Amino acid sequence: MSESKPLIGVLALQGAFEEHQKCLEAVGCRTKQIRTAGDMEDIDGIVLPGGESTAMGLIGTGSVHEGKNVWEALKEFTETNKPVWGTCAGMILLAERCVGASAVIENGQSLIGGMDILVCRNYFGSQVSSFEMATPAPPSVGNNNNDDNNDDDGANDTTYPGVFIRAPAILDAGKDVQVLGKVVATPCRQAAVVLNELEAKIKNGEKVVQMGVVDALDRDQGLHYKVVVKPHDDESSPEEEKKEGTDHGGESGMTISLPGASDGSNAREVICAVQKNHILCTAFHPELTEDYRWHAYFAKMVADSK
Amino acid sequence: MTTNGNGNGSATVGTVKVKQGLAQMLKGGVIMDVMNVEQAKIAEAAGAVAVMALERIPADIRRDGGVARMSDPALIKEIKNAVTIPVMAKARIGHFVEAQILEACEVDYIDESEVLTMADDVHHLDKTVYNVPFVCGCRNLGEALRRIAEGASMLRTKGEAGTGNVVEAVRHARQVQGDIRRLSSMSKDELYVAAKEMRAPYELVKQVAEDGKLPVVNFAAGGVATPADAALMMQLGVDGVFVGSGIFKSHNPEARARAIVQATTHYKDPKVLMEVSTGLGPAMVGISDINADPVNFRDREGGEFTYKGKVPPKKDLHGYTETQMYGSSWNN
Repeated sequence: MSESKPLIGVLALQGAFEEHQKCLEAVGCRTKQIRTAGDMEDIDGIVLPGGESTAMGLIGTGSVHEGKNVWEALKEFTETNKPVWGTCAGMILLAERCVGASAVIENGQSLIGGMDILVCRNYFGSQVSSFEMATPAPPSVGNNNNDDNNDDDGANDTTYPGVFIRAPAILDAGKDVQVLGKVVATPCRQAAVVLNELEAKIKNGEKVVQMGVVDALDRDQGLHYKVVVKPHDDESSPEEEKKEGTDHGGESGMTISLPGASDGSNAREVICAVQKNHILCTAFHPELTEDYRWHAYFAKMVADSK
Repeated sequence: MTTNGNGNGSATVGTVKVKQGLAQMLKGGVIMDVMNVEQAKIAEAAGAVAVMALERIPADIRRDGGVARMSDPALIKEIKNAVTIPVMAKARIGHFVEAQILEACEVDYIDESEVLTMADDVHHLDKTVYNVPFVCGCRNLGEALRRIAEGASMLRTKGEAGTGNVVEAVRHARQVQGDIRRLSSMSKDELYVAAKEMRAPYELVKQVAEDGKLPVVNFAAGGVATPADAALMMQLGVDGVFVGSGIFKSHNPEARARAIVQATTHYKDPKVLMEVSTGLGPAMVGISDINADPVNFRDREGGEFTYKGKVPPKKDLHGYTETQMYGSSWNN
């Protein structure tokens, strides 16, 4: 770093933003907390941290600052070539399509978009199903910075200690999206219901942009939960969800089952890390570990973009 | 519990990292007490990061008395079905079976709460044996570290719940911060006596002295009723805010909930605080003289349940089922 260190913004509406700052500073970046559109003027890249995606969406779009709200500024930022990284809730915000969203909030989950993926919120279940697991390491950034790696479940250069907390999963990624990590897991009961509904809709040729969770109570009363459906277009094939019930374990990654998982054998392969050009998404939380390789990888994306 | 498909890796649930990690994800957010599905939906739509499912909010427990217990699992399940944000629930201090039941309900966090009647006036729960994480109240650093030693993954100030009066929450937040600053300035050989005096494990005392901060997230709770209260607590250095009776005892819960959420994010920006504080309608009435009130939640701690100074008067009991609000160790 001969010239000035890159300045990376961390969205600080809510969530684990201080943890990201600590990691980014450890790999030689300067950081800044972002709460308003004005805060974003001089940053070279931005991290959307873990937290509650519904809360971030509501705080961000309900901003009371005059002029542009931070949500619009974030959308504009993702359209530049400056790097953007979303972890967990941040990944949901960057997704183009989201299922398992709140059925309560008027316009559903507010999304920034930019990453052509379909995410399912709380895929793995509630907190008792949150887990730690070895996941694929980020693409090498030259010198691996894993000397602090004190994880004892076989972590080495090829794995990374993944921390999944009420985590989302990526069900489908567009053609241009590079998949950096996968895991085979059974969805939780609530997610399984959502996925069944989603598959029925895809079979009918609908292109689902957003779908809420099933409110079991409303359902008993014959009410319908919120679904946002875009007119079918040809960019994505309805075949994408064909794996149901057949793919159990299979070729890549590990099969896991967690407390609170749905019954039956509808385990499926889901994606937990993707990159498309300047946008990076991880379903897990590198900011909660002392292994800074994902942060070093993002720092390099920022350095390369300058 | 670990299950493993093909030997390539294994998932471990209930680790310290995931238990403390969820609290880290809640930072900068507002956790709201709700008593039914309707209120839970209002809370989620207002931007709450989690809801606390209760049959009675603290203000009603204060007013009505009687033994306050864990909520009916049916209520918790209804609320879990209705919202996508984490759902918390309260267990009585020391009532490990209520905790087991709440874990079976798959709540996301359990509050071992002094607002409920104590089930054990000596022992708190061993919180390390559960996969579900726990939050506990504290008045000072010693109490905070005792709870962490028992396995609490998150802390909150005790404040004085159900009063709408932030004075006790401020006292407890300042006390914890002050205790940390005092430890940080001590020489190493003074920490042994400091640990003895605050009746906390030496290892945790040493860790706090070195780090200059608590090892887990600490929220404000107990008396927060306005956006300004929330921002006050955030500026005093807490990581987020619990709002109990303050929202659904006010005149316009939706607007107040939204305003408190914005105030907690933009706590350093007085202009935003002014705007969100404008036109919210009356806040909860609350209790101004906390020391004269016959109900005292904050001093309930297992093995520590003594009053210093003036003991508040016993209240008049009406009927056979009503009890005093104090534990059995209250002798006066």
